[in-house]
Amino acid sequence: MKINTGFILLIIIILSGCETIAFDEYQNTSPKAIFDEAWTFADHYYSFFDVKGVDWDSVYGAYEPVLHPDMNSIELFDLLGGMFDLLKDGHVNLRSGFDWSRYWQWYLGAPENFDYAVIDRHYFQDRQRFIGPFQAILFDSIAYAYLGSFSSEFSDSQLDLMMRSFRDSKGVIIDVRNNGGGSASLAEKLAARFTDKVVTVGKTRFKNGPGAGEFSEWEDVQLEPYKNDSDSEVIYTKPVVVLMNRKSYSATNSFIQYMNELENVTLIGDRSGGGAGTPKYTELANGWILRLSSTQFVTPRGDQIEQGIFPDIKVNITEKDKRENKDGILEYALNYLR
Amino acid sequence: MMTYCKYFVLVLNFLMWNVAGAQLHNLGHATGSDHYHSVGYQGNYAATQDQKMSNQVYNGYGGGLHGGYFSYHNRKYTAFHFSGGYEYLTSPHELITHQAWLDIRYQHTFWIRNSTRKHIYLGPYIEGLAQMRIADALENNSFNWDVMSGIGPSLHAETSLGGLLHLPDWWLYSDLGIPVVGYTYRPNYALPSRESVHQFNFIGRLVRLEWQTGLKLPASKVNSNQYQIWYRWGFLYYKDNETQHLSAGRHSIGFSFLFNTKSSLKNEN
Repeated sequence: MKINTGFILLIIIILSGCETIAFDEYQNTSPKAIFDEAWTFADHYYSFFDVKGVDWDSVYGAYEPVLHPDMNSIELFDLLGGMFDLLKDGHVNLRSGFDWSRYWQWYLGAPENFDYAVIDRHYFQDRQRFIGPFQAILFDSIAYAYLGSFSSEFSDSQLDLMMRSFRDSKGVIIDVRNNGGGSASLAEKLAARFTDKVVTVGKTRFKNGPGAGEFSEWEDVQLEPYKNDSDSEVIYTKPVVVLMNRKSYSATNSFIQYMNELENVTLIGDRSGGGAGTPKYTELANGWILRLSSTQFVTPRGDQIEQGIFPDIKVNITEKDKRENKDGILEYALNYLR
Repeated sequence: MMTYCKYFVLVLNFLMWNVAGAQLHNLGHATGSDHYHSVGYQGNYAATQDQKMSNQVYNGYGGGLHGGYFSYHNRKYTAFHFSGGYEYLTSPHELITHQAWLDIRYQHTFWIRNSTRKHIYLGPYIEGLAQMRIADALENNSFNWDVMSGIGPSLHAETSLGGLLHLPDWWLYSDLGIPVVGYTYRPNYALPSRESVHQFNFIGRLVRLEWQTGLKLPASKVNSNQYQIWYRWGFLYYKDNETQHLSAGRHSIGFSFLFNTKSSLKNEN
């Protein structure tokens, strides 16, 4: 059999570049196509339909008829934003060049319970130490550290330094009020400083299919204590108080859950904001970016924390506190540890 | 650009195989040994649709380096090749993705045809390909990997073009590799799922095709070193489900310098 190599080459050359045949078509930017892509992504990956009591198929039936081919981008954006608002989830956002949809009612209807200016002017008074993103100070025998975000990296050596500065204290207050979250691994890194044994702090699973019950198997989430054989002072096992409010959200909510499972920890303040699902992102065909919660994180007993964690001791800042430039939640914690 | 690229290569092949190919010259590589080491650089056009990351097709340009060796020995052609590089990709709405890749392959082929014009070798080859993509704007699922290795038949064909442009011994060659069994590993550094894929697949769910053609021309009249100019197309398709669905193509134009490290050819013709 004569092999005509030139002919074979010719065929391959013609075929080359045909990878486009293998690409699924997602270039349609009509309102209907964008709506379907966004709805389908949520159908496949959103993890809290049952928890929120939302029938996503019914939502499609209610919103799809509103679509019309001539609607402009803003109209489509508002329609989708309204649809996603039904999920009542701060981790669900649609981002475009002109706006981003969001649901903030989880904290807008709650007391503020935090005023950084009061902490800064009447408690820190320029005496605090900045250790990475932490602002730490000793109030007599009680150590206090404020962390406004889990988005700023901190190192083990910075935590070592902070924990050593706490060693003579009777107790520690970790204030994560108005901390909207960031990196879950940083939340775990900080919590690991307050236990000397492995603790199961929750269970997690992720949505992996379009059916309402299509999830991975539950996996235990364990908190491992930070290990430093040469220095036991970098672990703090004396009483700890975590201060929280409704704006303690996402990775901060996870941090609070980690701490909530430790025997030496008391939660004080208002219910946390929740946000227990790690968001998944995608780019829609028109360039908008959609994110939504794609996992569930629950307590070891199976209780949902998506809508917040209740404190052990509920305390609100009162009008009297505000008039006197006091932080009633911090004052309560100081007295509690004394 | 890819259309122009294809037609450029098409015309080049047509001319070389059907016109200049009539000029017979050195038809060595039959017995004895001929060893080359290669090093060079390449420019790439890449298009990727990784539905674990997004439904969108990301395409763009980049470059890379490559190296390796090949040898003709006792009617066998063996080649080891590695390459790696970076590509700057964007979606239709300009969401940026950085893609890095590393490709390693080994080809061990046996002479199945000899004529005065052409040599054809057929045999197995094994390949490993790792690709990493980072799309910052997709935050939690911005970082995606795929690693694929496969084994299958490969073809190496070459023909002498004789002397051209006052230089002797030009060669036109082509390589084709199609793994029929492959292993796919997709570690997941994207936060939401932590779902990794480890799978052995037969051709179908995993399709990999590599094709390269080019010219080898003498670097000078006084030694056996050579230059190599080539075009390469690599295609990868993998689908396990809606999410684990990846299609990718990479077109490369490269230049290599071939160091002849051992030669003891005996012509049989």
